[in-house]
Amino acid sequence: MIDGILSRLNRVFRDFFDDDELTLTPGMTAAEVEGWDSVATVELMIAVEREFGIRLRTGDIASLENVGQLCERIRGRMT
Amino acid sequence: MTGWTEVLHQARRCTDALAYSALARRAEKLLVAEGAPATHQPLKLALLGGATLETLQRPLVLALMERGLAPDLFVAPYGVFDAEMIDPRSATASFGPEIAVLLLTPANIPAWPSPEATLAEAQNTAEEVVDHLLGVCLGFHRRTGAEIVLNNFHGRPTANGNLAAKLPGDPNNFIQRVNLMLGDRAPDFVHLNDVAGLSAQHGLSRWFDPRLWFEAKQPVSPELALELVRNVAAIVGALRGRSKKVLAVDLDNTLWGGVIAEEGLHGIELGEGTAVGEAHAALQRYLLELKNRGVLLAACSKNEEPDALLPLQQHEGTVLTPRDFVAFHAGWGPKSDSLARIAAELGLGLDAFVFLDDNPAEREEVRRALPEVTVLEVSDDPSDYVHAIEAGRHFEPAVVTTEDRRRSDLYASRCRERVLAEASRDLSEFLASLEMRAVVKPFAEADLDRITQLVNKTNQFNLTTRRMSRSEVEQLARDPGWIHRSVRLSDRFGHHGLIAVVMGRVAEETLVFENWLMSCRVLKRGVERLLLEVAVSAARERGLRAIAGCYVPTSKNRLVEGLYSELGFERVEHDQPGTAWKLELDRFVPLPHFIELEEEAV
Repeated sequence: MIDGILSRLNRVFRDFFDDDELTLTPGMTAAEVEGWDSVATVELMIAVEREFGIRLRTGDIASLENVGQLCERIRGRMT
Repeated sequence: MTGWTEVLHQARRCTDALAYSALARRAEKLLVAEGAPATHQPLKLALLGGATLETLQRPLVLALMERGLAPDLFVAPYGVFDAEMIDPRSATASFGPEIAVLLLTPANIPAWPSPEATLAEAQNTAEEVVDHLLGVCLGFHRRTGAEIVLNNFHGRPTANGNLAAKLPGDPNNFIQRVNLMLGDRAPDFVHLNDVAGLSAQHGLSRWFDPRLWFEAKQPVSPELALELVRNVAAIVGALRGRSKKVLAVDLDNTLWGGVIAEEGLHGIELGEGTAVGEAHAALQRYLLELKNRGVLLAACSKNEEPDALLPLQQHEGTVLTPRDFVAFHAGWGPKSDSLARIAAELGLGLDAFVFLDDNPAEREEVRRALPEVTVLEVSDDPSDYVHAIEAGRHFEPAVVTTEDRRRSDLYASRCRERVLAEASRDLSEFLASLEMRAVVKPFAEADLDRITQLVNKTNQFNLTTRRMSRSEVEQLARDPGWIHRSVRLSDRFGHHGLIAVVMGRVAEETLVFENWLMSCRVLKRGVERLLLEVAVSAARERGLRAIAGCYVPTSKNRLVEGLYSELGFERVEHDQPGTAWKLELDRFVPLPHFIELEEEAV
């Protein structure tokens, strides 16, 4: 399931950053994705909510450390 | 220039906030690569506010570019709008904006009535709030000449249910009072950005997302940020003469239902009697309102002229009459030719025209032949047309009417003392009026979480941006080789909590600052002066002779580049990135601040 989430997430990120080469890995942090700053984070979360039809909770965003944690968080909110 | 043509074309048609942000990022790259299109009018714009503004920055630039402006945008540091506007030497004032956009939220309302307040008390508090805000605007306007775009406030949840509407002390009731008063009293250089109206139109629960407020201090939910940004762009555009002047409308199936030449005066639908007729009459009433406030109406119809005029002259449901139109073109040629002729007759450029037609083929013809004309994309339902005209904010009024002028003269001549006092106050008077009090003490066990959070989150006022884990902080707090202090600040508006820390190692006779940072909530309050004073006495108690520190530049801490120099440190040789500074304690001269040191309440 996490793999499925990761590949959907990858699509969201590619669209968002307009970069078809971008390949996410679970260990990746914001610092490793060009353009992923605090401004992008807020909008990315909205894009993630739209893609997965979920609602993230207060605290979900600030505490994220890497892509893998985001996938876990998405999975948690989907169930 | 194909890049710009494409991006601006897509931007104008874009209604989705996230898609718009993506376009705004493309626009930013284009600006770096080739600059703004040469035809765009340069504009120096400052953005200030009490919330996170960075998310709005790129979309705002694009929205202004949609309107033919090439903004040079300056974004003030987070949360310090009042000090930035009061201090004549602030970065915002030095930038010298032509227009300053001040974005506030209810969190920036400095005073609230008590829950039991009477009407008169609530009224007084509202006056205090409005006079403060307008006074700050007036002072900034006098010092810089900038026009100011100031918003009113969206509502907030109330615990009082429907009773709120009758309770002057209710927060939501109070917000409405403040909003009305802002409108009544705003002088002509203050242009109101009607966030109250906008948030009501879209629904407060969609407008304001509490999650994203708590998480990232977003003044508006990302989904509706585009509405806010476009509203600001419309106001700014209007101030720079970018509003459209002419609305050219088709007649058959636009101003009335049906085709006059085929169905005749009694066959078409207009006014009472049918739903479609009512919808067309409502559109006509809206057009009349536009016309009455100075928008020029032109008719552009494929008809014989007598047929085209007939409903406007004789139909009992018509609201508009032929005299309401400055130009009337009926004929069989392409509509683009008619529009070009109307423009020539009126002596106006085609870029001043908006075109409304129910027929997609006509719209397409005009769009292709005259790309300067703004063609409204509409459905075939006349009930949608008013919204279609309104949504693009093409006719945002800019002219200050004589009535407005008169009102602001009145306002000035009455010399509302408080506003003027506010406006002429300098930064030190402002700071003194805040009645700030601080508790400064070595790191306490109970504060370690908050201290660690500050160390890891603070970007702007941060000299070395040295992040530390909680256990590192805990360790140094216990280490006698370190000197550390935290600051809690409160003022007459309330408590700010623990907002600043400094920590340094004792190395021989010198205290070396390793980490010095402060929350952006209290920038420009003089806390750094107080904190240095405290550090100097702590160092003296230890028998030290100097304090040393470094400034390590990052992309976000330019704010404190000159801090050590301002505080009287001497620059010393340094072989690492950034600058190094030293202060001999016997040469320390305390700088004035307006914060009273308080013993901690037990």
